[in-house]
Amino acid sequence: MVVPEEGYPEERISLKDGSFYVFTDGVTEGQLEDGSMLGVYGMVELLNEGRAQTLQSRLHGITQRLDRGDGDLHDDITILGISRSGGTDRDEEAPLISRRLPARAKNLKTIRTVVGEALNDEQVDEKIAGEVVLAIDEACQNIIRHAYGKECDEDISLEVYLRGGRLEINLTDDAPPIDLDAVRPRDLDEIRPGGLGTHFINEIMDEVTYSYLESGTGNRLHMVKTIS
Amino acid sequence: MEHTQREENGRTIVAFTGDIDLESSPEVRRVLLDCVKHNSSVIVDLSGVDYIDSSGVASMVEAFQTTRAGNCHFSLAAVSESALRVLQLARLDKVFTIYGTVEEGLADGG
Repeated sequence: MVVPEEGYPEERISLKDGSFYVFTDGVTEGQLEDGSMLGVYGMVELLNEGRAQTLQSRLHGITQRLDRGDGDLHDDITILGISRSGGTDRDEEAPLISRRLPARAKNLKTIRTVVGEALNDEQVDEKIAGEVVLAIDEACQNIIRHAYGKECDEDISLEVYLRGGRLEINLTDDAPPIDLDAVRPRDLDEIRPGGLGTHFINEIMDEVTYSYLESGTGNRLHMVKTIS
Repeated sequence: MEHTQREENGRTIVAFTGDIDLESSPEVRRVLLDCVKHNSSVIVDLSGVDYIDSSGVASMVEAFQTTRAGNCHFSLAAVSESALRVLQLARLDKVFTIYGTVEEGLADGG
C-alpha cells in the first residue's frame, strides 16, 4: 500500500521562479547511454541545464536520454513537472499586477501584499522590493489624500510591468486634475511631520512622472525602478 | 495594529505590533501623544513593526517634538531593518535616539 491510512500530509510550497517535479523511480534508476544510472543528482543536473527551455522540452530531454529506442526499458518512466507560465520566459507585455481597488486606507495593506508577493515571485531583491512596496503605498496615499481628497469608493488602478529588468508602475485615479504642488517633496532639514511620502517616492524610484489623463478626469503617475 | 503600554523607572514604554500605515497611524498618533502629554519620557518598542510609512513616521515626529518641548526623552527601540530603512529615507535615523532593545534604552536613561 502506497498511502498510509492516516491520509496525505499537506504541504504548501511557493514555486517562485522554480519548478516542481514528481517522478517515478524508473526515471532515477533509468540507464543512460553509457550504462550508468541517471540518479537524482544526474536528473537535477539535466533539469538545471535545461532551465532556459520550456518545461515540456526539459521533461522530454530527460525521457529521451532514458528511452533511446535502443533497448527495452527496465521500468516505467513518469515525470510530472509544474512551473509558472510553462517555464518559458515570461511575457513582458503582460502586467505582473493589474488591480483596481477603492481608494480606502484599509486597501493599502492588500496593495502592499499583492506587490510584495509579485516581486518576491520575480525574485526581486528583498530590500528593493520593500522600497518599491513603500513607494507604491505612498503614491496610493497621495491619491487618497490629494487627488480624491479623502477616502472614497472611487478606484485606484495599479498596473506593474517588468520589462528588461525595469519595473514600470502606473497608478491612475478618476479624480479631477491634481495640483502638482500638493505632491512636491519638502525640505528634509526641517523636522516636522508630514510631506514625507513624495520624498520617499522620489528617493526610491528612478523615474517619477505625473500626468493628466486625456479624458480630462483622472491623474496618472508613472514610476520606473531598475531592479537588475 | 495593537499596542501595549507599561511604566518602568518613570518612563513609558509603548510597544506596537503590526503595520503602521495610513489606516493605523491615527491610532498610533493618538497613543503616542497621549503618552507624551504627561511630560514623561517614552520608549517606543518597534520590535513588532515590520512596516511603517510616512504617516507613521509623521506620528513619531510629532510625539518627538512634543517631548522635546517638555524636556523629556523620546526614543525608539528594536527597530526592524525595514523600518530603519524608512527612517533613513526620511533622514530621521540620526534625529531619533534608537536603541537596540528597550532594556538598552532603560539602562541608558532613554
